[in-house]
Amino acid sequence: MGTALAQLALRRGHQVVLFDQNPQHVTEARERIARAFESTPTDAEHPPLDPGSVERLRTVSELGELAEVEIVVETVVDARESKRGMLSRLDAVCAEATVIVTTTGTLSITNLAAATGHPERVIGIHFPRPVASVAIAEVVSGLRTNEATKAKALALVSSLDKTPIQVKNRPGFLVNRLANILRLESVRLLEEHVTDAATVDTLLAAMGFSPGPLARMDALGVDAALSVSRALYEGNLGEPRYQPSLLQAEMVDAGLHGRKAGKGFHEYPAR
Amino acid sequence: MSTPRARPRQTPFRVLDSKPGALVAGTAAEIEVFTPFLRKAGVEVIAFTIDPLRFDFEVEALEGNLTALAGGANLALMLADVVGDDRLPLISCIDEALPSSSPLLVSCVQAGAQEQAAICEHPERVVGIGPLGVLSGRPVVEVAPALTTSQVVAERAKAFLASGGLQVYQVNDSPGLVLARTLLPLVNEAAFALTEGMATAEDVDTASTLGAGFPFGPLTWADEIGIDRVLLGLEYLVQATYAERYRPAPLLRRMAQAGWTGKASGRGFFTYETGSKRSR
Repeated sequence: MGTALAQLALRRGHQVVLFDQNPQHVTEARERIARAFESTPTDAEHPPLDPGSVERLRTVSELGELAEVEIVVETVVDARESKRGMLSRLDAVCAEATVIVTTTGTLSITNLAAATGHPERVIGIHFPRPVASVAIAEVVSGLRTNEATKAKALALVSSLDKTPIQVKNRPGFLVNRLANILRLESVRLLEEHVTDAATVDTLLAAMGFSPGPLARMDALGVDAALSVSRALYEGNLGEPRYQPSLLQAEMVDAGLHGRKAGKGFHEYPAR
Repeated sequence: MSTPRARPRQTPFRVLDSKPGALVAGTAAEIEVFTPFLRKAGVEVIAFTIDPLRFDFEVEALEGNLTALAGGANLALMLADVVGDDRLPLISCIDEALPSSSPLLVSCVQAGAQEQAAICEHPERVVGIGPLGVLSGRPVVEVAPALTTSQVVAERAKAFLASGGLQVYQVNDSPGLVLARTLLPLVNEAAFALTEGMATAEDVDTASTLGAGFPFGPLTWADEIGIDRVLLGLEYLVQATYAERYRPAPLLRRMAQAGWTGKASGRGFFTYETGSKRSR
């Protein structure tokens, strides 16, 4: 996620500082980005890249190097304690004027912002995957986020050539909230033996939900989908609409995590 | 005082002696959407139009009409998802008038296949179908035999629908089958999000199509298939499963009460003027 965003920002002309506390990770990320820029084909939709793009990238492994950036975007794992920890560290090193963006898809921005001493400069942006091709991003203010912070976040999203959608701070925002409901109902059809996974997916793919909600979940990761589902259930204080599925939980226990594991709702033979 | 009921209206379609006929009961819009597939399957469409907004017919009058219309039909298709409590008496009337060898296909958006078969004198010829695919312009139909449906009838129903150019998926008879069970909760969630002021109706739909990769926004789709259908379908899911998770968003009920049933009425989540969409 961090690398994909850095690449996008470079493409759109930003000066980018990429941080990872592991120096080897930043070196690898830099090489990946350089390769991507060299190999990107040029056509009507992908105009020629500015050859200097990669030179606008600085890679660092000391958090203190981020002190003077205008806007910092954290992309650590989407779990409450990891996010809160990183936001608190960023708040400690960044200049007062720096806007701090968290990229959660499920967690409360108000809660995450409260891990810092300056919740007014913290805001959420959810970039649905795949980051490079999805045309929108959800911009979510916490209860104490100020207008200046929101304006900068909206401008950042627009500068990345995406349409910002302003969404209220509710669990899962819009994208995950809606996708989660479709996933849960699809899994319940299997739990209740209404039909099999192939029929659920073929039927919904015929409706345009290609390749089908279960195949999509396999691609996303059944474990990732379960995390979203749990976060929504907890975030909504146990509202029955968000009750996670036992089948999904059991599949995660069994290691049937989807495509990356070779098996989820469908099987994926090793290539 | 008699219970208010939907007024039946006969339509110009007539049975031709040379062609088998299919009786189709539903709103004018439902019949219109299904007609091309039925014609392709080689049957003459005998339309029995039900206007859900007018509740003043007597069962006796209905029986007279239906006996004339359904008497020679080789198959009957009961859509009429939006007539509420009048649904079961209508099915019972069709069952009485239709020759006992003709399959009776019933929509499962608002009632289960078994529930509808149980009130018929010939439950073995009653088969459930899921019409939401066809109603949203996709050549897809679910077929759900009830416990009492004869296998021969189920196979005939499937072959008939397939011969009309529909992709047929057999699923078990369960509340809402697959499409209503997955898509109506999606609309409901979008309606709750709207009620909570999470975003505008346009943004809810944009997040769905561009963000979640759905083929349509749930609010736009609800306007197309009808807010009244969505509401009755969700109410049925609650009643059939006892699961609170299908509880309809109060906004849907208010909209149905206001007559804001979607595109057909000119106003739903969006407003419509001569086919084009505007936000409300």
